[in-house]
Amino acid sequence: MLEEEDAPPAQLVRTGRASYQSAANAMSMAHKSSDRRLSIIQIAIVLWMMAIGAKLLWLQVKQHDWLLTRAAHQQQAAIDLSPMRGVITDRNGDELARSVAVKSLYASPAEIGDASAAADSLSDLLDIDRDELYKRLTSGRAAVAVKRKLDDDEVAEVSKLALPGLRFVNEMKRFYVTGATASHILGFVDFDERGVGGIELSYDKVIRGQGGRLLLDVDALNKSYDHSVEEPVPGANVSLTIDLMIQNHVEKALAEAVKSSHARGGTIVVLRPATGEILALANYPSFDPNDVSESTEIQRRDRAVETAFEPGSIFKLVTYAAALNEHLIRPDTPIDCGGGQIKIADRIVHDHPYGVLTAAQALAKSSNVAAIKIGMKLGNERLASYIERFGFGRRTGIELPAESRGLFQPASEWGPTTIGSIPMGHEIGVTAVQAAAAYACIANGGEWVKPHLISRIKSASGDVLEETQPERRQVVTEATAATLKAMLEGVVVQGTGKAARLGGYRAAGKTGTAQKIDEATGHYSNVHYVASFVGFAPVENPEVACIVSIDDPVGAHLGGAIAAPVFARVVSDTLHQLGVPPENDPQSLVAGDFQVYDLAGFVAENQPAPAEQSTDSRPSLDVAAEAPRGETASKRYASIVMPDLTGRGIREAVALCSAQGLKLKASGDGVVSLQSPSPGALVSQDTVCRVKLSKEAVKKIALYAAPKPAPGDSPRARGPRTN
Amino acid sequence: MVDFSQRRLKDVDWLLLLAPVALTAFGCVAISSSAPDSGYVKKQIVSLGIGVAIAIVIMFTDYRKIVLNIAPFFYAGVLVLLVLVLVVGTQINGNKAWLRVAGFSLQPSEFAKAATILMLARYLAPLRQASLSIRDMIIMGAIVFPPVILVYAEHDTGTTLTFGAILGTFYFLGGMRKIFLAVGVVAVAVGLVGVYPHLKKYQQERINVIIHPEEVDPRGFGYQTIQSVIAVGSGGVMGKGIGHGTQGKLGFLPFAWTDFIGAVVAEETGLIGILLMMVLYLMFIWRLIAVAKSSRERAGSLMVMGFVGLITFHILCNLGMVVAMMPIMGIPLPLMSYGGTAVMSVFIGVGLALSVRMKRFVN
Repeated sequence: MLEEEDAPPAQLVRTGRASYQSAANAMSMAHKSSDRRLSIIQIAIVLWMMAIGAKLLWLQVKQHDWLLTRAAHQQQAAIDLSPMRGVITDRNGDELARSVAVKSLYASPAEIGDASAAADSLSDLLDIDRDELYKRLTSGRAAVAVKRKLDDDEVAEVSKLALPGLRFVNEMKRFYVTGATASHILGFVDFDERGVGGIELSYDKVIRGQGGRLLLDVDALNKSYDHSVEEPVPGANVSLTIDLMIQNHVEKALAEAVKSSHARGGTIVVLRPATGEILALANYPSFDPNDVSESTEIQRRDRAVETAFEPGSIFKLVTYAAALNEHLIRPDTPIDCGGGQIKIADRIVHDHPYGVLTAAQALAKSSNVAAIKIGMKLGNERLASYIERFGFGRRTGIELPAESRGLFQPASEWGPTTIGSIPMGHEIGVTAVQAAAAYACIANGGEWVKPHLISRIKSASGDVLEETQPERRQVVTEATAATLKAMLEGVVVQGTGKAARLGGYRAAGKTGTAQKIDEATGHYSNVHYVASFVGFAPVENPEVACIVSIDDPVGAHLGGAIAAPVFARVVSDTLHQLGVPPENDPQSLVAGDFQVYDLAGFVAENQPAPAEQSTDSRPSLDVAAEAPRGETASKRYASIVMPDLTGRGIREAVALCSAQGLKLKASGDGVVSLQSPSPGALVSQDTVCRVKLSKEAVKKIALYAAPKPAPGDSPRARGPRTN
Repeated sequence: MVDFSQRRLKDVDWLLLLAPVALTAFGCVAISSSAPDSGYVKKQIVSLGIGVAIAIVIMFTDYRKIVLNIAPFFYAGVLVLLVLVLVVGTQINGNKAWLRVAGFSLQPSEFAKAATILMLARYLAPLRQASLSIRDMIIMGAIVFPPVILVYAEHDTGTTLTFGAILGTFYFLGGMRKIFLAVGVVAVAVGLVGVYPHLKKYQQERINVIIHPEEVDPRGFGYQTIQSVIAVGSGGVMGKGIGHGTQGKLGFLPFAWTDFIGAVVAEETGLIGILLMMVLYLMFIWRLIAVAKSSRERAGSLMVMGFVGLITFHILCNLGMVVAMMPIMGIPLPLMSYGGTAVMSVFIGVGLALSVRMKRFVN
């Protein structure tokens, strides 16, 4: 019997057969309910297991990536390693900016031990805030910076302390080899070696290289048990088109010009017309990129590309080029300058009272009426299209950040009197680089070449990554360019730009004096001007184009007086630097016929135009009020200005030189035909000047014959109103 | 008492014996890749050997004699040890639960669970009625009470709760009336909610981290839960490879080799590994339940189910803790967590179950 078999052990059975029976019945009942309850438990277990399984699925599949990142994140501490920024050199390979390795001090708080003592000694040694350091040393982070970019002494001192948990990490520090020189081109970097201005910013990606990391594998207590290094990749090296020597000369000349004219600032850009290579680009005021924090925003502003100014008469180039190219005028086309007045719509523009001039003369004397008349002959659309072809109103694409487009409205937006302004450079804004490129275009036979600063980019291992092939386009015909070149030479020979004569080379160019717009009133100011000169030399085969723009000179403000002499000095220096052999310069001889070149002579030539009653809404320009004072060039500049010796006899030359403390070496006999250094160059005392004397009469320059002077065009009334 | 015969060896439920051995071995692998040194694995392996030996000895013993004759002495002995722990015990991780004996740390509270199960089975076995009387329930409570108080005095919350689970299992299977059952469920639910405001700050935070994991200070008392989740999740489907887990080895997961051994398994062997582990546990539990069902005697059935309740409660709470479904309570994973006494106490249960199974036809 099953019950028999199934009976509990005797010990557990209480007593008697009857009770055993009932016990067995109760037993099977209990078993039944017990079995049901067992199943309930089984179901509960399975459900709970499934819930856990679902949660596991969620965590290990759906959230896997994010949790893996979290795990990696808490198990690794990284210290960024800055890559070695590329070297920036000038065209001759001279280093301008390079990075040097310096050491930065990091600490692992978990390993430092006595944080308080460490903070005491380190803050004392490294001249940092003690409490701030203590806070970092007691933070829960794996690695904290103690001080970055230590100098050698500090490194030695810290090493002597031999504190636990300290670690030196190599970092890079940018060093601008030449200090403030070329600072606006180079720009600067921030503390983390990221480019902030100039080429450093615009080519940051190329120069910076790729950052590396020191990866510390850390445990839960932030103790590192291992580390690995992702080596940084050094950046590419950049060769600039600038020449350090020329840049230095240019900056010096600019600083002196700005200071002596008490101007607010200034810009000089020197470039090679045939290639668009910028040889020098200088702004004043300037700054030292090694010490950026000490500089102001105004010092850091790269005026040459960021600041658009009203060009004034230098813009007449576009008007004349367009008209010549369209065969509307020839250099000898007579233009009635209307006695100094022209009515545009209901506005009367006043000018120096010239009568009939040839186009060449009108440009040389910077007649506004002539420029307007030529502009009107062209018409709005045609003029506007030439303006655009010369690259105004859009960025040249120079490799500097924050380049301005300038201000230029398309012809459709022009008002009825706009044609009375734009031909002479008003109602338009240009940058110095745009203007320099436009003149370089004429110098280069009518072909515009994109001005650029970078010649070549090489990887750290020396592979050439990029070689600049500048964009070019023909703007006007070669014939137009040749004609205009000669006319611009006339400006220097007998027009407003006499002070730009180089001696030794023939120069061409144009003066400009633009009234600035008074920000308070929105009208043209009669005390604030931009004085500029832009041109090129030598005329036959131009090697150099240059713009000099002086912002807001006090007192003398005419482009011909303020900017032209600086142009002469800079271009002459540059040509010497480039090794361009001096020509048998006919300009200086022509000049000699009139007067010896110096500033006093210039003043005599630039007496103001007669005062006029103006109905022009613009304030008239009282030239007499700010006629240049009778300072000589040598007084104005701190160093000695090389006198012009050409055309002089040997006695006279020796006397001039010794008066300045210069020595003279001469060869040949007759009058001086060639001299070195060229006139206007800045030289130091005891410089030996070499001259070549020649008996030969100097050949006449091939200029267009000037027509008979028009009535009222007296030599004493040549001073342009808006020249 | 011990009877080795050919017939008996054939009757051994090998799966029931091998499943816990496999789980312990699996645990040893996880311990070796998360414990600070190799001593832990060695001790665990020794415990496994002792555990298997105990199980085999018990298997060939008549469990009825154990329940009747040995259980009271075992129970009394354990109570003495529990008192002794409070006096001369060693404190590890905040719990004063260990006795140092001959180089081994003995955890009497683990044996206390086995002893309590035996005593409850011993009390219930002769009862004839289908449902429990209030008197029965009080007496059962009185059996559980002394060890609970002594364990609670060790500040071992997890083990204290375990006794509740054991008592609950016996009430439920012993035939507690449905009305009491309902009252009990409600009382537990109300108790859980009602006790929350009276919990200590760190205990509240351990609960909060389950509900709002992102609002809790990751370095505070939610730290372990968060690190466990990171370990599990970063393991993914395939795992990081045995010995290649980082969370445990680098100390992000504190005491990974004990309470969070499941997280180590999940991290190193991935979803596949931990599911395999859960399947092994299910097989183990299912074998135990099968033995309980096949037993023709109440004593055997209830005793085995007592162990099922104990083991299952541990597994479900521990895994719930590892995947952040339950707050941290200090409940280890049976067989896998490092801890020799716990392993041995499970193998005592295994031996008893094997013995019950062998007696299922023969009386």
